[in-house]
Order: sequence, then C-alpha cells, then structure tokens
Amino acid sequence: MDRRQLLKGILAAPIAHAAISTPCLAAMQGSVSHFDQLKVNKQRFLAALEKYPDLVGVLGTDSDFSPNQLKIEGQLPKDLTGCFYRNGPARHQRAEQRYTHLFEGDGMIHQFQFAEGKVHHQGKFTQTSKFIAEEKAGKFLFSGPDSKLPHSLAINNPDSINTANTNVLPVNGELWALWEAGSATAIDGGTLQTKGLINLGEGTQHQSSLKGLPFSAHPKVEADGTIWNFGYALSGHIVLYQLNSLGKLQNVGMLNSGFTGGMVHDFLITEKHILLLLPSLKRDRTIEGQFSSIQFAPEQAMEVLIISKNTLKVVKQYSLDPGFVFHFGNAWEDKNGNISFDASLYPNGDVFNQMTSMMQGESDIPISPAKTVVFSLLRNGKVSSYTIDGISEFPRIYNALTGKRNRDLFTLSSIESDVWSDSVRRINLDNDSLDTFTYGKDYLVEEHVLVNAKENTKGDYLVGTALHTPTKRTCLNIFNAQNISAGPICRAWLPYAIPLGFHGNFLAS
Amino acid sequence: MKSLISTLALLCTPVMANHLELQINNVSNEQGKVYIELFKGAQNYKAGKSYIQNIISAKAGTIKANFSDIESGEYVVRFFHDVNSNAQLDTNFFGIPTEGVGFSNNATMQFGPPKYQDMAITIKNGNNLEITNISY
Repeated sequence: MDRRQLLKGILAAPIAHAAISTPCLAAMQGSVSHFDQLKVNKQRFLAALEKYPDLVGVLGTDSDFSPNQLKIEGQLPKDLTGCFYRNGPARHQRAEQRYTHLFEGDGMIHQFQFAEGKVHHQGKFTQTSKFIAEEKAGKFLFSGPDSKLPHSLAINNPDSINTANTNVLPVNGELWALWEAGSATAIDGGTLQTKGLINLGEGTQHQSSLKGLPFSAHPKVEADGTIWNFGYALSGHIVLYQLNSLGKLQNVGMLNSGFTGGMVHDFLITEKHILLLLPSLKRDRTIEGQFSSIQFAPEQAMEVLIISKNTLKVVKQYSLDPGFVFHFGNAWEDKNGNISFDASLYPNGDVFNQMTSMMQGESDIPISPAKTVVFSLLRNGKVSSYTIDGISEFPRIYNALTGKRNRDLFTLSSIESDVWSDSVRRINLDNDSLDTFTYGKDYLVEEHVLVNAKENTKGDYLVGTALHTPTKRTCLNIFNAQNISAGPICRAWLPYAIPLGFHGNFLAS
Repeated sequence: MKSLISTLALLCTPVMANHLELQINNVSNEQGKVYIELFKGAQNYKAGKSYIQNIISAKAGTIKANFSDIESGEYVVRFFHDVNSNAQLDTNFFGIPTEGVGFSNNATMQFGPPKYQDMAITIKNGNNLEITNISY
C-alpha cells in the first residue's frame, strides 16, 4: 500500500468496517434506546485499529510516560540545551467509551530535555479537575464539546471540562497549558506537575470578571516578553489581554464582534495593532455538538478586525474572500500603515468534517488542504493576496520577529500525502523559494518549532516530532533552520509512539 | 355571605397548607448565604417573576430550607451560593456564573442553563421534599 492509499485508509478505516455499522452495533448492545454513541465509537475505532495499525497516533494512552533517555542518531549540537515542550490530546477513551472528536481528549505535556549531549523524554497528563474526577471514577463523567454523555455532571462553565490540551507556553519559570475555551493551567516546567488554573484577574479589580474566561491557545509573545492574547465566546464577545513578561495582566478589553460562527482559533499582532480574522463559519444549532454544529458559509466573507493595541478598540475592518483559517504565521506593518500577514488558508470548512469523521468513522471525506496565502491589507482599504505553492499548515516564525517583518516562514507540508503532513519546509517570503525536507511515506509529521535563537545565527535550529508508522515509534528531529533540505542533523528515538499532538515551544536553558 | 367566606376559606386552607422542604447537597463551605427562588409555572419562570424567595446561611455539606403555605402546582427552584456576601450571583465578563448554582430536580448546567422541563417539580397537597445538588 502506498502512502496516499495508506493515509486515505487511515481516515477511511473506521468506515471500512461497514459490517460494524452504527445500527448493527446498537443492536449488538441490546436496544436502540440504549444507544451509546461513544461506546459504538470505541468499538468501531478498535476494529479499525486492528486493520489499520497506523491509527495508533490517535489511539491515545491511559498513563503517563516516565522519564526515558532517547537513542540518538547523529550528533546532538552542543549549543542546543533546554526543553522542547509539546501538548496534545492523549486520553481519548475510558472504560467502554471513546470521544467522537479529536479535540476532546485530555491534554498531556511532553518534555524533551536536551542536556549534556543527551535527550530525555517524559510525558504527563495535566491534572485538570475533570481529569482527576474521571480518573478516580474510571469512566467519563462529563460531556465533551461534541461527545454527549446521557448523565453528565454539571458543566457550570467551560473550565468544568477544560482539558488543557492544545498548546504549552513557557511563562516566568512555569508552563501554561492552553485550551482555547477556558483558563490557562499552570504546570511546573521541571516535574510537569500541575499547579492549577490561572485567573488572570487575580489580585486586580477583574478578579471575578476574568475568572474562567477563555484564553486562546495561540498567544503572541513579543521580543520584550509582552504577551498578547484573546478569548472568544460563542456569543461573539471577544476578550483581549495584554500581559507583561511575568504573565501579569496589564490591560484587558472587550468587544462584541457579532461573529457567532463558533470558532476563532488564532490571531495576529503587528507592532501597533491586533488582527482578528473571523472566518466564513456559521453554526447550525439543529446539529448537536459544538464542533459538529460549525458549518462553512461559502457566501460569507472573512472579516479582519484591526484593533489598536493602545485602546483595544477596533479602528478598521477589511473583508476577504470566503475561507477558513486555523493558523497564522505572522503579521507586520510598514511605515505607511499597510499590513501584511500569512495564513494557512483552507478554501472551505471540509477540514472540520475531516477531523470529526476521523474520530467518528464516516466515509467519503473530502480533502481540501490549506495553502499559505500572504495577504496585504492596504491603508486605502484595498486588499491583495498571493498563494505559495504547496500545502501548508502549522506555520511558525522566529519568535523574536513576532509582529515584525519576517523573511522566513516555517510550515509543515504534504508532498506525497493529501491527508497528513509528511514534510517540513522554510519559505523565503522575499523570493518565494522553498527549502523542503520530506520525511517520506512512513512518517506522520507534527509541528516543528524554532529554537529561540536570532535569525541567521549559529545555533539556529528547527525541532519537531514525527511518528514513524511502520515501527510505531516517535522520533525527535533537529534541523539547521537555514538548511532544512539537508535533512535532520540529529534524530532521537523513543521506543514507542506517543499520541499525535498539536502545538509546543522550546525553552532554551 | 359569612357562610360563603367560610366555605371559600375551607377550600383554600388545605391548598395553602402545602409545605416544601428543600435539601441542597454539596455546599462547598460555610461562607456567605444561599439565595433561593421558587417560580410557579413556565410563564413566571421565563418572566423572572418568583413566587417566593428565601435566604439561608451557608454550611459545608447539606443545608435545608422550608417553604410553607404554597399552592400546589408545578414549580422550578433555583439557587446560588453568594460566597462573598455581595447579595448577587457573580459572573465573569461573558456572563458565566463564578459562584455555585443549582436547580430543582437535580438539573444541571450543560453549556448553559437547564431547560424548564428538566427543572420542573410538582408540589402536591401536604408535605413535599425536594433533594437536589449545588455545583460550582
């Protein structure tokens, strides 16, 4: 089976067991009236896993990964010291049940520690209140955003089901595990022990009003350590945060965007402005499940709100052609006030269905990958854009250039697969040249991040993980960031696969 | 006329003699007070027009509140734990409660307040007992 067939198989796999259709399984459970979608999902998934072992990446795990020294291929750069942290959903099933959406699993923080020529790994579940209660009970107790439990415990606020599963940001000596619908969770960066939820209003006049508010999984950190972020509510209200380098609240603002499409995942900053892009989404409330109810609206323009960093008020608005975006790389503005930014732009919302279907086992999943599109929002109100060749997702830049002009944009890509990333590349935005390394058909490649060095200097590395599917092992890869196509200069192997995750960051020591 | 009034009084008396004992479990601590409202029927609940209210001291664990002389019929009970004693249910910027709340019939918040029919209970003639939980 070639790569394309294999990965299509991964998505199609749960459906390939047409013999174990939903009604069949319901009947097997005795009665349609006792139909348990989560139980059916687990049975179907495990049957699929038997046939398509590569689904191991989204199987999840039920325990922490204890410290383990990795086997190194190549030479670990001596000037590369510190910790690479990653976050992602790692507990997708309990007892007889399995979640139906990829975003619902409990978060696990992975730590890859680089020191004295060695790499050690450990992974720990973030001890959220939800995780602790369900671990004790030995079963799911709460409905997820999409997975409905018949007798869920109370979900008084989003933090009741905060899984802290999307990103991890080093802040003032600790880690913040991030989940876009609720509070950040503080973690000890050394031991990975969970400290607890963070109330950004603690000790301020906003103690109650900021408690439990969403803090997105994609904060933007400026070179001086200032942290900007936003939080989106389904009502369309958006909270804006400015924190100092210690993670302390400096300013907070609120706006009603009027956008009720259900998801704003990422945002951008320039030196003077915050950019919020509201994608072409709307919610169909006749569809149960918060993710499932999100629908692409092909006639609905994407709106970009330009917000002053000083006043936290909208100062300008642009309309873009319909589309959907999870992630942005960077934005910057020139001396004339023209703003440029890149987006991993999907032509429609099929990616939503793809991720839902992947966990639920439905068939005929249309594939519409994202491409890097560079937009220019001109001061005169006009908009122009151009598209970079190839598939792009998980864009990253040199951290110190956040909000400033960047030449290099690093993204994952897919050369042989149209389902999962199999490549990593550097795009030179000055001349659109590409510097690409393709892992090959046997790897599922995850986000690669820059070690926080200055651009074009020695010790300028790109690091990221990939799951080698034939051996079911995860490897950590280190590239010279300015010579990606040369391949990894060092690769470190775990003896097992760790669950596929989302985002992370490197903290140099 | 006197006999008519007496007859009406006799008719009314058993109805208004109804009693509700409300037992709320899982109160987190003894700080502040628990504010309780009873609503009679869906229309009044929707309009926010309560039938009777009560405020009782908080206590960790289980607390009890008694309501006497209430008409029989369909009711909804809702309550919150005012931990900081500011006489209101504190919410964050997005309007989400930051103090404990609860409802009759063990209805719970599920990405929003419960539906009326999930909270509704029937008060019958005589003594009634409703046991429910508060969650934070």
